[in-house]
Parts: sequence; structure tokens; C-alpha cells
Amino acid sequence: MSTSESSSFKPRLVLGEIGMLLIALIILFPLYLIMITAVKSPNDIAMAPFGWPKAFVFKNFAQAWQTGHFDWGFRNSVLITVISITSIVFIGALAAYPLARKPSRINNLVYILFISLIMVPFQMAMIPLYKLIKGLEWINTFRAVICINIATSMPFVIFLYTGFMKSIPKELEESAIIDGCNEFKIFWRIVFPLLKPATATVIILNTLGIWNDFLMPMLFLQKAEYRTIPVALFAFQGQYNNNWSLLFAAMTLAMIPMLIMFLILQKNFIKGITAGSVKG
Amino acid sequence: MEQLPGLRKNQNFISLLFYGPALVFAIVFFIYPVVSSFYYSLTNWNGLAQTIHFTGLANFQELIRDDKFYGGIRNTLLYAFFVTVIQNIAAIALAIVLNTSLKTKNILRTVFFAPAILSALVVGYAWSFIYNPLFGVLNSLLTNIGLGGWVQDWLGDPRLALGSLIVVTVWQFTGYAMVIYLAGLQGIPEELYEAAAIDGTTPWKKFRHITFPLIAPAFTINVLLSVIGTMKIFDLIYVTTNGGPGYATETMTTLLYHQAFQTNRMGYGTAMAVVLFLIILVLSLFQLKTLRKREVVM
Repeated sequence: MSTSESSSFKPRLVLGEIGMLLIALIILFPLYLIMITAVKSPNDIAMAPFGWPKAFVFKNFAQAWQTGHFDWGFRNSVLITVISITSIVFIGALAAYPLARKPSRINNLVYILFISLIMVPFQMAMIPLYKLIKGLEWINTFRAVICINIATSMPFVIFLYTGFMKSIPKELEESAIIDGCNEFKIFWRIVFPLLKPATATVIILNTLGIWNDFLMPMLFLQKAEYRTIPVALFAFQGQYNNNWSLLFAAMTLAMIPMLIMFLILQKNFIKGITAGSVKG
Repeated sequence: MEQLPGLRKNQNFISLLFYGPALVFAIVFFIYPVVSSFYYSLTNWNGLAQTIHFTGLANFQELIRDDKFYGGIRNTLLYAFFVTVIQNIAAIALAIVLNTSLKTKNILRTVFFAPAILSALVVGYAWSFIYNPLFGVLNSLLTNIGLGGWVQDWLGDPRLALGSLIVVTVWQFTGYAMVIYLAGLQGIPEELYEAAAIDGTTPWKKFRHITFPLIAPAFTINVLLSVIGTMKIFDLIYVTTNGGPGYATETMTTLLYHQAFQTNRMGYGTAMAVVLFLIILVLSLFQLKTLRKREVVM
């Protein structure tokens, strides 16, 4: 844009700004609605479904928390997410190292095998997986969900790590080989710390997916004390489907941890999303 | 440098130690189930009986005659098509406006992206409330602004339900797509536009000949993400309409879930999964081929 034009551009910028703010309000409206409905009485909802509450009923949260057993939900979701993500990062980065650095016919085949799994939808594995988990007597165990999380995330995680590893110079590793370090030491001391940006992407993308996952945990974690937050929320809705204020209080509780994480780490989220996509 | 055969064997063994854990997890909990899906799709496995009989292509022959399955394919494709088109047009438009040095750029980007971090359940229940025919926000809003004639049972009317769900998905994921486009736009050198300004190009020509070709990689990945994501849609539909009213929003995934876990026809369900997989595979390969050609290497 030339400088002479920029002064005449300002009204357009203001207009753009106003238009975008309006769209932002529309986008935020459902979020506002969830939180505002959560603190209303049923009567208040019927009278003014999207107005400001007459009185804030904060005990909705306590009641939803207790009756929906969200204490278990949180514990289970945190446990499953943390263990899954930690395993995914280490197992994925380890696997990517020889695939990126040691080209051989076998390694290329293994790489192609992983990459070709990216396009396979979970549903393609779902029904036999159910039979397998049942056969192992792993229904209502966290290890079922964690193992499946690791397995189904590997293709994309390996794809990301391998792509990233190829973009970092090998000189450090080569000098370490000359110094007589073994491969594991090289990986752990030199390569893994350099992978930080890719690791951030892997953590963010997979945390979002695993924390919000519903279908798979619903299949394998049926007992109340093993449910994750989404499964607990689903069960809760089945029980209290007419009590919107309680349901919305439960929804607020369910979405707050991820919302806070997002607000604190938003730059990393945005970077993670773009890094995870443009590499494709 | 040329390696000795023994050294190469040793090298392969070390490599195996590195990718062994990943391979074991992938084989046991992903590859083996996927491969056995192909096998079970050729059987009458019903989940209850102890014996599983090989029935050849019987499941697929039944699928061809199954009107519900055609409905499922049609709904899935309609949903995937409209979400992909609307979402990408909206996301490109938003990204271009955001990229014009707005002061509120960072806040807006955060706001637009926010719905993408929610679980499908939270989104589904919130929109069920908005669409509710009795006290739903949408109908009250329409009545309040004098459009009472437009009041509808948004999720309960078979003609509207799928469209209403398309709106929900567009609302949730347009910001996600926008973030990817924005990254693409920020990579376009300002000089290109300056050169175009000297030549006196129209905004549309600028978009057509500079912006769009240069965000083609972002376009490829966004279209691919939308298509694959929408073809696999399950959670949102399961918690809002559960395929209803009638079969108006039944997709391939809800159908196969119902077949496998409610009527216990596991074999028939896997046959549906195989068809879903093949459709996704063909669509993704086709897109990669056609869209990649448009990309400009910078």
C-alpha cells in the first residue's frame, strides 16, 4: 500500500474493525449463553432465556459437581491426558529419530506404514478394537484408553517429528558420534531438546483431541468412577435433560479448564495449530 | 560412506529399538483392528454368538440395497460439502480482513479460535438450547425483531436439521481454519501488493492473482482437514439429534455405531466402516492431487 493511500484507508479500517467486532460478538454469544444459563434458576431461564440473570444461583455448580461426579471426571481426564501425552511425546520422538536420520529401506517402509495410517478414521478400527479390549478384559480400565490414544496418535505425531527433525542441522549429532556417544545418548541429550517447538505442537494438538474425545472413552469407560469429563457430561445430560441450568453449570465446569489453558497459552495454541498444518 | 553389511544390520537393529515401542502400539491397537475390519466385513459376526461365519460379500450386497445407508452417505456428503465450502470462504474472508493491520487483530484471532477448543458435547448441548423450539434463543430473537414467521423447530424439522448442524460446525471451526489462512497470508511479501498497486489492479484481481495462489498450501490443508473431519463427524450428531428426526441427520458414522452397538450387527457395521474408509481415502487422494497442483512454490 502506498503512503498517499493510507490516509484514505482509515475509514475502511474502522468499518472493518466494527464489522469484525460484531462477528466476534456473534461467535462469543453461545459461550456467554452457557455461562449465564449456568447461574440462572429454571424459572429465570423460562422467563428470559438470554437475558441477564435476576439472581445468580451459584449453587448450580456445587450441585452439578456432586450429582454428576465431576470430581471423578476431572481426576480421570487429567490422569488419562497426562499419561497419554507423556507417552506420545517420548514414544513418538524416539520413533521419528531413525526414520528421519537413518535412511534405509526398512526405515522408509516403516515411515510409509505410519504415514499411510493418517487417513484411516478411528471408526475403521473401532468395532474390532471393542472386541479386543473386551477379550483382554480391559473394559473400564484407563490402560485401554491410554494404549488406544498412543496407537492412534502415532501416525500424525511421527509425521510431525520426522518433518521437524529433517529441518534441523545434523552437525551436532555427527560431532557427538565422533566423540563416541551412543545413539540413545545423542537422542536424549542433543536431538530431543532441539525438538521443543515440535513437541509443543504435539502436546497441544493431542491434548485438545484427548481431553475432548468422547466416542472412544464412551465405549470403554462405562462405569461412573472411570468416566472422563465428556462421558460424565453425557451421562449427566441423560439424567437431567430438562434441567438446563444444572446441565449448563456442568458444561461450564467441563469447558473451563481447557478455556483457561487456551487463554494462558493462546500464542502456543495458534503456533501449534499452524505448525501442525503447514508442514503437511 | 559405504557401510559394511554387519554394521548395517546393527544399525537396523538400533533403529528398531527406537521405533519398536511406537510400532508395537500401532500394530496391536490400530493396524490389527483395521486389518481385521476388512475380514469381519465379510462375516456375519453379531457380537453375541460364539461363532463367526464367513459370508463373502453378503454384507456389501445388503449395503447396496440399504436405503438407510444411502441416506447416510448422502447426509454425510452434504454435510461435508457445505461445511467445507462455507467454512473456507468465511475463514479466508475473515483472515484477509484481520490481516489488514486491525488494532484488535490479536484479540479477534483469540475470540474466533475459541470455539474450536470446546468438546462436541458442550457445543451440541449449547446449540440444542439455542435451537429449542419452545424457549430457544433463536426463535425468541426472531420473534423479538419482528420475524416471528421465521420461527422453526430447527433440529426437529427433518428439512432443517442437517442445515442447522452445518451452521454449528461452521461456527465451531471457522476460526481454526482462519488461523491457518492467517499464517499463510502473513507469509506473503508486501512488495507483491505494492507492485500490483502501481499497476492499478482491482482488489478482486489482487485476490485472484496474488493472495489466493500464495495461500494455496493453507487452502489444501484446510480443505483436507474439513473434509476428513466432517466425514468422520459423530459426537455432535450423536448428542444433538442422534440421527433423527427419522433418519434426517443419520450419517455413516452414526449408522455404523447403531448397527454395531445397538443392533449388535458387528459384521455389517464393519462393512459400513470399510465403505466410509474407502470414500475418505478416495476423496483425500483426489484432493491432494488436484489441490497440490495449484500451489505455488515460494
